Amino acid sequence: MIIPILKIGDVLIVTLQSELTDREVEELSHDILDKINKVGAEGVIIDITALKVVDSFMARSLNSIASAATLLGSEVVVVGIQPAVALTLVELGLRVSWGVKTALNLEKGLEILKKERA
Amino acid sequence: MVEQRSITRELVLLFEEHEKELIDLWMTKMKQLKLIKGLSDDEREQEFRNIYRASLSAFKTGDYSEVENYTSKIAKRGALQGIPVDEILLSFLKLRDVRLRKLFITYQGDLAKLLEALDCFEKVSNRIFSIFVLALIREREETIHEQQRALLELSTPVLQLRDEALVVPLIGVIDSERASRIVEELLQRIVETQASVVVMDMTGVPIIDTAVANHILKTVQASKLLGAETILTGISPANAQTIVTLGIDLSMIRTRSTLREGIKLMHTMLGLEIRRRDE
Amino acid sequence: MDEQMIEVKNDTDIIRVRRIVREMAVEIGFGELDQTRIITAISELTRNIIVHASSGKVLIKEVQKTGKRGIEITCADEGPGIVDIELALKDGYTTSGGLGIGMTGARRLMDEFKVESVVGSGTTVIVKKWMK
Ligand SMILES: Nc1ncnc2c1ncn2[C@@H]1O[C@H](COP(=O)(O)OP(=O)(O)OP(=O)(O)O)[C@@H](O)[C@H]1O
Ligand SMILES: [Mg+2]
Repeated sequence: MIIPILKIGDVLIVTLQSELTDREVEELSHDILDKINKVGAEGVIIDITALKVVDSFMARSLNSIASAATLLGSEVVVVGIQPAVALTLVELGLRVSWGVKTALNLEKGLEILKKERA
Repeated sequence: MVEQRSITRELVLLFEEHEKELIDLWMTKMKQLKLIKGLSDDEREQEFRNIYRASLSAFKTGDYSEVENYTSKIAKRGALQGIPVDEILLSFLKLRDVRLRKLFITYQGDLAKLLEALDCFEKVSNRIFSIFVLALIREREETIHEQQRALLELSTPVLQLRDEALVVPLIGVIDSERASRIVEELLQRIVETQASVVVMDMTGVPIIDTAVANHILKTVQASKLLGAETILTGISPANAQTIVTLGIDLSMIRTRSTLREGIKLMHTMLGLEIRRRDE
Repeated sequence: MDEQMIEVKNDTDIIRVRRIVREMAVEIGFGELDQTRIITAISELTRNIIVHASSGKVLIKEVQKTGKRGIEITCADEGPGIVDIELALKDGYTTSGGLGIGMTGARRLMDEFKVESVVGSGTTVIVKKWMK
């Protein structure tokens, strides 16, 4: 599966449309970091509105993408986490150490990125 | 067994034959005792005839389902119209008395027969009585349960204070069931209203124990994943002490002593400034 | 469709297990939040089979208890087994560089949780969730 990574201004936008296998998640991480490097993106929005399940592997991968992106000078915001997914992640045991920034939707995610750079 | 059946048949016939007489007598006694005053005479007579016949059908067929249906209907009506439980029970017991007396009068010359009749009568009568009591208890329990649910809903309001801001004034004891409802409701409302700040006020929560503290922690973390920050307000000094003693770490949560201070912080976080117009 | 057995050996099987578990959870009547909890837990346990034991089986079935409906999922493998179960059930314990929350998390998300493991011959985890 090829997941498109759109570039709008200085921001990359990645929309996950369906559940991904572990390998696809790994490929995606690689692609995102590659693209950040290539285009010098200042921010990345990962929209997971369509995901009905986020398990520890997915959570860990999002965290790694965010940490690596920071090293490349880019900020990641995950948007669209569903209420049931959020509560389940907390019950699963995701700690505050999960340092990924989150926002309700794409618009708010972009706002956060704008504020960060101001 | 055959004999038992024949005495049953005899009793059924007796009560059927004297239905009018016994119901009238019963009504008169009830009036003297001033029971079930809420109903009009017509209504009462109708009601009494129904009870009379439902209980007689239990005698006749050994099938109590009609009695069960009827008693639960009465229990519901009683609850609706505020008829006291003891009045309902006393009315039924009065019917039993009226019938008992009829038995004594009928069989006064034949002790053996009387005892046989009583054996049969008591068994059915006691069973009907216990069905009555159970129906009343069940009705009571349902009422209590409904009230609890209503209260539960009332006491978990999530209010929208302004664009992007919710306030949750928690009141009363928070148990697990309530806590789950609060979390689910709040997360839903955050998405609906696109809130970015939530003020959760604990002023009305008497006790914060480990379970409650963990629920709060969970709520704050889940809200954060959606993209909303929580401000916790109104933790009493005693509760603060407990939280520390229990070793619960709420340090990652923004707190303010009062709801007022919390709302001020909320404004700051939203980048708002509230001023008088003439300043 | 009240019992299903799925062989698992790679990451696409995790997605397949999730889909089948969801179908059964919906059929039993679980609400959205509980569906999410169940699927997430099973995703963790299935991945554990693949990561720690390389292959195994997942058995999904509907169960009943005093009139309540529920779902029972058994994740079994013939992998290396777990040396110290108590330790493996501690938050943050991992031998694979994970977050170490898979097992404890699955336990928190489900109503019942049982692990049996024999070193050298395999691990079986049985979890259940009941309708409220
Ligand atoms: N099926 C299994 N066979 C062998 N060992 C297992 C199995 N499942 C779990 N373990 C052991 O228990 C430990 C804890 O498992 P747990 O799922 O909690 O964490 P993890 O898989 O290491 O990380 P993650 O948070 O990504 O799931 C594992 O690191 C592993 O040592
Ligand atoms: Mg695991």
